[in-house]
Amino acid sequence: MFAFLKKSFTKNGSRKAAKDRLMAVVSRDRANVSAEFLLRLTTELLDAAAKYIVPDYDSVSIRIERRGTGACLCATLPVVAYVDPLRQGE
Amino acid sequence: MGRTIVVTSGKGGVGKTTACANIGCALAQQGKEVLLIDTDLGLRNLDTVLGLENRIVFDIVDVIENKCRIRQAILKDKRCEHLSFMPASQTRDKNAIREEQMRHLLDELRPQYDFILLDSPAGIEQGFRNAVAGAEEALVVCTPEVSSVRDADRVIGLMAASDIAHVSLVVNRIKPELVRSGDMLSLEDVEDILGQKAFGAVPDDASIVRATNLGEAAVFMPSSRAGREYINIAMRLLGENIPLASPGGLQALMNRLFPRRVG
Repeated sequence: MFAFLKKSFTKNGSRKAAKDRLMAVVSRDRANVSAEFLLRLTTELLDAAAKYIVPDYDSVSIRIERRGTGACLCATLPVVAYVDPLRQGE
Repeated sequence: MGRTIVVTSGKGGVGKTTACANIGCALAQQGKEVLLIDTDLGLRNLDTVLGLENRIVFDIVDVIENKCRIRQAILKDKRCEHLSFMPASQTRDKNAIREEQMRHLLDELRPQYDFILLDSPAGIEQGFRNAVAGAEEALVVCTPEVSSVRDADRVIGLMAASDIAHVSLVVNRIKPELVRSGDMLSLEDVEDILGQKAFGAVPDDASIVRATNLGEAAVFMPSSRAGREYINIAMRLLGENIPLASPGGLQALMNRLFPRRVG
């Protein structure tokens, strides 16, 4: 599931780990939600998207950004391939 | 009418006071009338960074409690003509001042200066709220470390709900060799995480330690790389277009080869 996160923790010294951890914690701080909430949201978003696309898991980014005094859920899922939903289950 | 800028960070020890002193000195060197106000009640330090600790008689709490007139609490720096300084109280705590008193004081001071820089205490309690009250702009200082960036994000979020119209980010103590070896967040990483472009990028520099030991601003040391970036930040505040250089990058080299002189 979080293969893209796990992979990034182990390369590039500690810099990449620091960035990924910060991206996650800052997202949570902004939205004032728990880690579990964000994990479930991410998981279900990816599951839903996977019915239609094959995302590039290495560069998936799902975070909550600040917009003025509010917040905005921003998901970037680079598409590797499309899944035709009509042909699923054939 | 002067611009009122609060220098803040959330986390302590990231270089707020040093940034405040150096940017203030650089602006004063450009002929601007500058007032630095230390709002860190009980833990003042801008006085020692400026080397003015032995001249303090009255402080900001004396002014607010009407124990002296405003100008009695303002010191003029003898080495830097246009620089003035109002110290914090060392014996009173952060609750000695309320936000509306701060706003009122700044309203009285603003017509006399081009720039008023407020050195904020660490944290997000009353002291921070006092420093932010009445300021229109903010410089958020952070270092490329997890705890500092996280706190900077929190402070930026808090200020979005205040009267502050413009927040600029200064990334301090960047170590190019650590960034290159993959063990420190780069300037670009910090920009990505905080979702905003940096206004200044100050390299980690031993000359800051030396300058602080001596009570002199690093901007007066021609060999100080950090001092040069503080001058660049001051020039950007004055509206000059000086490209931001990621320490260790090509632009940093260009800026070093063709430095901008003060005065």
